[in-house]
Amino acid sequence: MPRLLVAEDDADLGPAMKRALELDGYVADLFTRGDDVLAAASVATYDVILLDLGLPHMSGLEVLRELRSAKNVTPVIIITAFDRTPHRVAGLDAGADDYVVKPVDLEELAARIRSQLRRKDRRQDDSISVGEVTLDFSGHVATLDGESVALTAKEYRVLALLMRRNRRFVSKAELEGELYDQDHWVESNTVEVAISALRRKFGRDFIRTARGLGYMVGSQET
Amino acid sequence: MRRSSLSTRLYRRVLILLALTGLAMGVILYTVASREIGRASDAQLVNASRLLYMMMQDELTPAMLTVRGARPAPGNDPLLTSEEKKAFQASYDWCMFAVFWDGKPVAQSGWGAPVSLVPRRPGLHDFTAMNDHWRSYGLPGRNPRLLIVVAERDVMRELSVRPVMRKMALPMLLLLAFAMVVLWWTLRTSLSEVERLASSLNARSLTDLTPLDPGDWSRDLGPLIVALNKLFARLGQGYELEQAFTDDVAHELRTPLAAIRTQAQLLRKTAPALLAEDGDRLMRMVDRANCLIDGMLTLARLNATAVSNRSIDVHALVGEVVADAVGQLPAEAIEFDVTPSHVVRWRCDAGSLQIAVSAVIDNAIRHARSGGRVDIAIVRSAEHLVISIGDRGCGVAAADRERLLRRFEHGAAGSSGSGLGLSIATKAMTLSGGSIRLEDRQDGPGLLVILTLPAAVD
Repeated sequence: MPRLLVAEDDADLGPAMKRALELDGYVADLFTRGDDVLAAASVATYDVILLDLGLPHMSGLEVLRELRSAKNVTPVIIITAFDRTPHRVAGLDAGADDYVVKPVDLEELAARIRSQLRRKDRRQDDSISVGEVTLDFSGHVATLDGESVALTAKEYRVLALLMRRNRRFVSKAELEGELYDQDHWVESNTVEVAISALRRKFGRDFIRTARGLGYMVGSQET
Repeated sequence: MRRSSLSTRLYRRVLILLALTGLAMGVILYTVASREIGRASDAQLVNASRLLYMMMQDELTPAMLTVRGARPAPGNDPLLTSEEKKAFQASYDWCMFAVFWDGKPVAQSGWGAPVSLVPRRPGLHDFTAMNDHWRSYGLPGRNPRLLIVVAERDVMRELSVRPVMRKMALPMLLLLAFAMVVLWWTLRTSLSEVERLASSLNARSLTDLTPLDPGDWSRDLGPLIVALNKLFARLGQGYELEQAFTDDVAHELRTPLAAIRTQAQLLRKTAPALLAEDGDRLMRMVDRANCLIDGMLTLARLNATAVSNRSIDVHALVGEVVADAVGQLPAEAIEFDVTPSHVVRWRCDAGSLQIAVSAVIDNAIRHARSGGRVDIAIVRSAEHLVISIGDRGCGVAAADRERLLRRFEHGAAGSSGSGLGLSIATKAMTLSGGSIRLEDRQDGPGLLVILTLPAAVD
C-alpha cells in the first residue's frame, strides 16, 4: 500500500486531504510544520510527498532543498496557492517532480500521484507516460494500462514526438519531418494514417487535433 | 499642446543670440568706425588749414590785412593767388575756407557756407548753414588777430552704410548659413546622448529595473540618470510589494476554498446518492468562486505587470493557449481552427497578449460551447496585427457589447463565469497599446472578438 506524506498547515484542508487519500486506499501521514516534515521524511520512507510551500518553522522550499541535498529522491508534488511562473520555476528547480495550484481536484491529484508512483517504479528507465499510455524509448515499447501495444516504426516515431511534446501541439509538417529521416519518402497521408492507427490502439480521445495547429496528446488530468 | 523639441528651442534661441550679437557687433563697429573717421577728418581739416596758412605766409602783413578788413573784396584778393587757390582745391576740393583778421573776413574760398555763418573761433566747431551740418576748424596765426577757418559738410565724413551693406550681404549670408548648419549639427550631436539614453531605455523591458551606470553617460545627464535610478528603485519596490500582496491574497483566498472543495468532494464520495447533487452544486460554487479569484488576481497582476516588446511567434502563442484549452475539455467538445498554419512574427508583449487571447478563448468555451467550434484567424499587416476569435454561440446584442468589456458584466444568458474574462482581455490589450472589439460573425450566428495590436514604435 503506497505511503504518502501530506504537508499542509491549514487546519481544515490538511485533514480533508488525508481523509480523501485514505479513501483512495493510501496510507497518509499529515504534518503541519516544515521541520516535522523534514524529520519524518528523513526517518521513514514515503512513496510520494505532497508538499505545501507556506509551512511554518521551515518553508516547503527549504524542506525540499534539504531533502534533495540529503540525496532523498522521493517524488515530491508541490500543492500551493502560489501560481506565478517564478514560483513554479523555483519549486521545480528545488527538485519538485510536479507543481499543482490550489484548489486541486481530488481526481486530478490522484492521477498525478499515480503518475509519480509509476515513474518511481521506472526511475532508471527511459520512458514517458501520458495518461495511461507509457512509451519506453529504450525498448521501443508502448503500453496502455500496463498492456503492451504493438506499434509500427512510423507509429512509434509519431507517438514518441507527440509524447515528448506532452500538452503542446505538434504540426503535421514536424511529424512529416520526423518520418522523413527514416524513409526518405513520405506520402501525403502518411501522418494521418499513423495518427488514425494510434487512435485505434489508444482510444480516439488520446490524440487531440486542431486545424492549423496539428496534433497533441495529454490533458489536464495527465 | 505638444511642446517644441528641446533642440529646436535651443537652436532658435542660439540663432537669435547669434543674430543679436551680430547686430550689436555691427553697431559697435559702426560707432567706432564713425568716430575714427571723424577724428581722421578733423585731422584733415587741421592739415588743410595749415596748408592754407603756409600759402598765405608771404602776403600776411598786418597793415595790408587791416586795409582789407576795412573793405573786403572777395574774388581776386592778393592774399591768395588763383594758383594757390587751385592748388588748395586740388588737395581739399570738399573744403571751404575763410580768413579773418580781427574777426573780419579778409579772404575766402568763394563757395560753401556764407562767411557770416562760419564760427570765428579757434578749434573745432559744428555749425549749420544752407540746410547742412558743417564742421569747422579755426587755426589762429602767429599773430592772434589772424584766424584761418576751414570747414566741410558733415555729409562728407559720414560713413555710408548702404554700399558697405551691399558688398557684405553675400559673405554675411553665406557665413550665417554656415553658422546655422554648424550650429544644428553641433546641437544634434550633443543631444544624441539624450537620444541614446531614450533608445536604451526603450530597448529594455519594463520589468528590467536595473539602475543605469552613471559612468556610461556624460556628466550633463548625471542628475537625470540619478533621478531615473531613484525612480527604478521605487518602481521595483512598488512592483515587489504589489506582487507580494497578490501572492498573499492568492494564498489567503485559495487555501480555504481548497479546503471547502476537498470537503465537498469527500462528501460526494461518502454521502448517500441523494446528496450527490448537492455535493456537485457545492463544488460548482467553489469552482466559480475560484474562477473569480483567478480573474481578480489576473487583473490585479496586470496592474503591476511590466510590458516588454519583443518579436514573438503569435501562431505558437495561440497554439499554446488552444493546447491548454483543449487539455481541459472533453475530447471533441469544441473544434478549433487556426489560420494560418505557420509562424506569424510580431513585436509585442507576449505575456499580456497571452492573457488576452486566453481570456477570449475561455469566454468562447464558457458561453458558446454549444456551437462546438472556435475559429481563430491571425492577420498581419504593416501597421496592425489582428487576431479574430469567432465562436458559434448565440452572439451578443450590439447594445450589450460595450458593457461586456467592463468588470463583472455577464451576458444576457445569466452565465456561470466570473464576469471578468472580457474585461481582463480589454485590460491586457490596453496595456500593450492594443484594442478589443466585439462583432457579429458575418458567416452565420456567433460572436467575433477582434484583438488589434499596433506595430510597436521603437
